[in-house]
Amino acid sequence: MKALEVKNLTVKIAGKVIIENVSFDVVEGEILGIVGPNGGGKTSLIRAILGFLDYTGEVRIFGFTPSEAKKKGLTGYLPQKSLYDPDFPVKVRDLVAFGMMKSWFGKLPSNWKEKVRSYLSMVNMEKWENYPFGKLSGGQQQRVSIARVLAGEPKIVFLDEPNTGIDVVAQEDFYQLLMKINKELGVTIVMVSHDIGVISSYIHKTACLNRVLHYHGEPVCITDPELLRRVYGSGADMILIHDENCENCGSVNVKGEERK
Amino acid sequence: MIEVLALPFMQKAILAGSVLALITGILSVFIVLKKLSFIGVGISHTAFGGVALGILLGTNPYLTAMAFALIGAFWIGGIGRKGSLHADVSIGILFATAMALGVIFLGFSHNYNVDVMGYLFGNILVLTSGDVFASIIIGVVSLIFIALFFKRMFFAAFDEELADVNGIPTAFLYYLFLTIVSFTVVISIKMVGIILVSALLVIPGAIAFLITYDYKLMVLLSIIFSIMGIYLGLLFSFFLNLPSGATIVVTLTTLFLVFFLIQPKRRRIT
Repeated sequence: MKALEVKNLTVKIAGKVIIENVSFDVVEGEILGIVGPNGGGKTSLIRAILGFLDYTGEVRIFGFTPSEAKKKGLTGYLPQKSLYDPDFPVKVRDLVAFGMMKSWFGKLPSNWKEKVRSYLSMVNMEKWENYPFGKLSGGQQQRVSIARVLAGEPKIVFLDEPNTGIDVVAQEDFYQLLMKINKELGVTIVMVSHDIGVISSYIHKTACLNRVLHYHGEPVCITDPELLRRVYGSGADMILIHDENCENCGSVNVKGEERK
Repeated sequence: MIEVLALPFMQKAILAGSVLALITGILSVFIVLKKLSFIGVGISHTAFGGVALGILLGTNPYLTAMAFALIGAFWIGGIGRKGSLHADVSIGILFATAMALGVIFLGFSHNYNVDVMGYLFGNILVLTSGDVFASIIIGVVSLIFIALFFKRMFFAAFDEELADVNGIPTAFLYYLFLTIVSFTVVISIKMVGIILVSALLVIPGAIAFLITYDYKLMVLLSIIFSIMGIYLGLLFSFFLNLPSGATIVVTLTTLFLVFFLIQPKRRRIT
């Protein structure tokens, strides 16, 4: 089943075209990485899909409009935000419980504390249950935010630059956590990142966006110099960091030179 | 002391003041967390235009104040949500305009027996039974709505977009909040006055914010400080023969300064 269908999506902000005629879809259970340069429209794409920006075209989430999908509790969202107000009076436990609240009415389930603990243990944050959320580090806040998103039991989760404010070691853990959630809970993930090297190891498909969609498919685009030139411009030089997941991956620049 | 409490005007003041403390205690938490401290100023000063229109037309000034307060609240809210201008800009334009209209309306009015100072600075010791009854009705209705959406309102105060993605009706909650603030401002006019009501909508929540990381405890503390401010202010006002509204505000500010100097929250993490 298609978890997300985007057809001919165009977004204009103050008369300027930010995203032009973009179409793609995501099958249920997939992890899609949306990559592209800063200012290429990645965040606007997510925000349009979630109904925060006006657009022309069509968006369907599990066959529903964004508004219907949100009302049905199908969506989860982790915005691009490095840190929240450190003094905001909300503890980790309460924030995760917020994630369980849907629609207009309805109380939390009677076993909400146990449920919160189980989600926190999934992200290895159960010891921080009574800690103020704003006092956590960036990586810890991201983990708790994932627990909050999961507490809503969404079918599709949108993550906007989820590695913002996290150090390199924590980033690796974070992506492993996302893969675990995808495999164990079957949650479809749409993730925005400017770091195409890192996320390519963790995603099933890539969408390369710079106003228009330059590529959508298997995550191989990072080794294609011509594609890099189109997405990032001719001045860019990509240095790829290799890891155990790399296959036929080279250090490339967009002038077409490829170095092994 | 007991004799003071037996006085009918004091009983009315305590009853209506308690209702006001309860609502403003809760509202001020949301106002502080949503960084809307000037919304009370904006709405209350807008209500002044309504009071003046009511005086000019010879109708109940509180009804016209309510209409003006609601228009003002939705103006501020609408502009703030659209994002084209910051809320403080719309508040700055609105409250000066409404005050100007109020002065013009009073200029046209030939009713020279109106106590304008009473509307501006209030006097909780001259409430009628009708004022107390109106406060209770508005207070109960407001509390029912707040109780229905309490946790959802907090989620939206933390991050409105996250709440929206969960299907929570954030726009409705925002305008509901503004409506409750408007009603509260109007019932406060006679008690503490248009100029001073905004203090009740900010200071109790600000004190509680300095103390706790727990949002439920913050609400409880805010209500307690609101009640303390009104009760102590009333007593000081009575025994020292000071204006009641101003004494309540100064009492609350003193409490705020004490906790600001102690900074209890910064001294610990949990």
